[in-house]
Amino acid sequence: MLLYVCKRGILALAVALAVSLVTFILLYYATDPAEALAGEDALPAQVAQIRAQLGLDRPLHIQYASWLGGVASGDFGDSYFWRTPVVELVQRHFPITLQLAGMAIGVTILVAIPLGVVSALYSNTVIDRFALALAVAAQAVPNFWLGIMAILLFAVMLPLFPVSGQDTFWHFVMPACVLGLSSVPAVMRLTRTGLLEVMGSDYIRTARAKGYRGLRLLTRHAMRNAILPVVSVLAVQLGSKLGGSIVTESVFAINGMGRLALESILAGDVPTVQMLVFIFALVFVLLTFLADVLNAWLDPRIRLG
Amino acid sequence: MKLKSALMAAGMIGAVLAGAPPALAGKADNTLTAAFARGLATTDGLYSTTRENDILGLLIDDALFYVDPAVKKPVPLVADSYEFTDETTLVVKLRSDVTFHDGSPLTAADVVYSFQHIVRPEAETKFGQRIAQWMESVEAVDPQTVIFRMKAPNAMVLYDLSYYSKLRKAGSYEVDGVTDPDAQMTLNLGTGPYRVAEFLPGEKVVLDLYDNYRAGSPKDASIARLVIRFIPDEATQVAEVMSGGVDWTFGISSEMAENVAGTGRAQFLTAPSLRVGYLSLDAAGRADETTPLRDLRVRQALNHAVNHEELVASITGGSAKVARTPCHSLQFGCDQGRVRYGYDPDKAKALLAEAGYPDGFEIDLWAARDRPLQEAVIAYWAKIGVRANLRYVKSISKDRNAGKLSLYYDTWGSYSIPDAGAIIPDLFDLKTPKVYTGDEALSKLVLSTNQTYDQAEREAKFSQAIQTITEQAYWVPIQEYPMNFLYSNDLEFSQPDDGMQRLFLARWK
Repeated sequence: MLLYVCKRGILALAVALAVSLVTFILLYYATDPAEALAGEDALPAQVAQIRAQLGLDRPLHIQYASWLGGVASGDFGDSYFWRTPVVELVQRHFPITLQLAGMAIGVTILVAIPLGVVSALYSNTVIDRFALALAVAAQAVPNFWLGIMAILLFAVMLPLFPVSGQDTFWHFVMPACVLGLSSVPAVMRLTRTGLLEVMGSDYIRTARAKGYRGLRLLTRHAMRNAILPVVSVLAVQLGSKLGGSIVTESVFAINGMGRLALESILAGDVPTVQMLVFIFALVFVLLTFLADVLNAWLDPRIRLG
Repeated sequence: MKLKSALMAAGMIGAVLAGAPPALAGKADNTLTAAFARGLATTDGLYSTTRENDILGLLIDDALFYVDPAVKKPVPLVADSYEFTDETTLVVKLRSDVTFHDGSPLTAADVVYSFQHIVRPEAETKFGQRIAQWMESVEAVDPQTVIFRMKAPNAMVLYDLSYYSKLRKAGSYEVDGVTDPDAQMTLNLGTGPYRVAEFLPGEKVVLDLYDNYRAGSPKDASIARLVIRFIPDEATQVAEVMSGGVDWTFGISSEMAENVAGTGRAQFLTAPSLRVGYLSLDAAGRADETTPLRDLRVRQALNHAVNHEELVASITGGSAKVARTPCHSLQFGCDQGRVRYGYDPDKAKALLAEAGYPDGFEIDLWAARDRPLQEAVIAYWAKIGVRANLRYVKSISKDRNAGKLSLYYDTWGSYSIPDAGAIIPDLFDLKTPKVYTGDEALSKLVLSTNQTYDQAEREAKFSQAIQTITEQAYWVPIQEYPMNFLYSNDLEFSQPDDGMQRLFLARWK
């Protein structure tokens, strides 16, 4: 198991580094931070001065090596736009996004898994078709539309929740539901498929023959195996919530990592974008890694194979 | 109608039909919550050029002068009086009752320090170069008197001493002997009617009324607390106003604001801004020596081919107006009685044929904003055979300054200064990299407009410049932008027509 964990860990780090290199190259060619910082009406001399001050006139490989050296010593540089160390920005914004993503995944689990189970248990019935139709609808609706509709319904017409902001737990309820619902279709369908497959297997027939029925059969025998692919998908979904909540955070005015990423991109704030992409990549590979380990723990055949 | 607007309109009607409770305004606790679409990275107006920082700066900082919207001219604010002792010397007497937010009095030494900091290159202030262009030196004669010596006569000097030169306590930016551009964000020592109580970058600013603010200031404020929140999504801003979470916001599209105001749950105000939108035509052949735009008849044809009235009414709405001149019609010196190009596609076609383009030509139109407007212009030009390809990009500034764009759409807000001296010299002096006229004589003329204090002389020079620019059709002026506001029914708010938002003038009903 330890060897397996080490191999996966090294692979995860290599992926994160590769992503950072690609991002650096893309940012180098796609944006000119000196232009963005100097402002639209700046003179060319002012732009050149800023470029020199920030070291942006150095060759690409020197800039990347310098950035990598900083990262190795824990220094991700200062934000051009926010004029503060990038690490401090992340420390400020990450807990907010983590809370939002955590609650969103909670919503996904609470809605998708029961729905998937019910759908599997009543497969090819009206209930199943209704559940699948709900999943299709949830997938078809764009996040921003769902967010605006939720605001109009639950904050303007029925003032149950605050419209936007992040001051209290209640500020996160609507955005977490909106964000969480977008993952429901994938998780629900995977739960349904997994459970249908497991329920038709020999060991479930054996369990039935031994007298196991209902909830006991489902939780103690069927779900443990049916949930394996769902764990992996949930990990990826959590990663996407952490890195891809830009729209939801904008609609609900939540000042998390997604909004920080958006504003940094618009401001040409390369150090911040670079670190955020690096972190998002790390989060993805870490979660995938954890899902692999968890799956290996749940199913010993994986680590042996 | 855009999808979001349609959804919002449906929601608003639903809200009214459902009998939703009235909005909870901040009147009860005397706290005005405002929403900005763009987050602030700093509270220090010397280090930002955004409109949001302009609004904040007026709340927390007093400058030597203040542009009085009633007379559209600078009047003394921290200054008590002023005198031009000769064409390049301005003597300013300071008021004795101005204090910083820590209670310490403002003196001439603070003013001198402020301006020396602003122009110091290593201080990296955003307006340093602008002030340094005219300021030779600044010195204190006594604790209440400051002398500005200028490199040349400058008719815009009082405007520059109004908006872009915040006053700082002496030594504010010196931390352990080193200049720290971020120091003011920690100190937050302004002299305005509000002081910063809390600042969370990109999230919110909380301002409290400054108790010791002097009585009788034209910037007299009455609301005890201002909370400025950053809400990037327009629909969310509107929903906040409807639900009472936000009392005031600006920059909302006309159709959205009109829909909300129609429900009676908020007030909608549309007012002019000084921003002008225009298409610049490469008369000099700077980007392309072979461009058809070098021919005056082609430039005139492009002007005649656009139905300005129809375009502005259908695309922008609100209080937007057709632009006919290279300045804003509300600005001093912006003579509206000069050459005009009426909508006349037949004449445009004839001019093109005369210029040797009977079948028109193909050209790239570069723009970074107002896409629907560009598409409408392209459609007008298509009727005379000009096939313009829209090259819509994030920013045109780099290529525009490098002289690579034959045809681009751009805007200019004149820093909300109601004087043509804040636009015509900036956009027609050949030393400015965005200028494509190649017209040396015009360049000299526009530079001379601000080098005299004689307003009649300035007016005549502006008129002459406008005549040349329109005759030569260096631009296709398009529109004067509107400024839209949506605010609580409990609030009284007026917007001067210079486009500068003076939030301190808001009052509860």
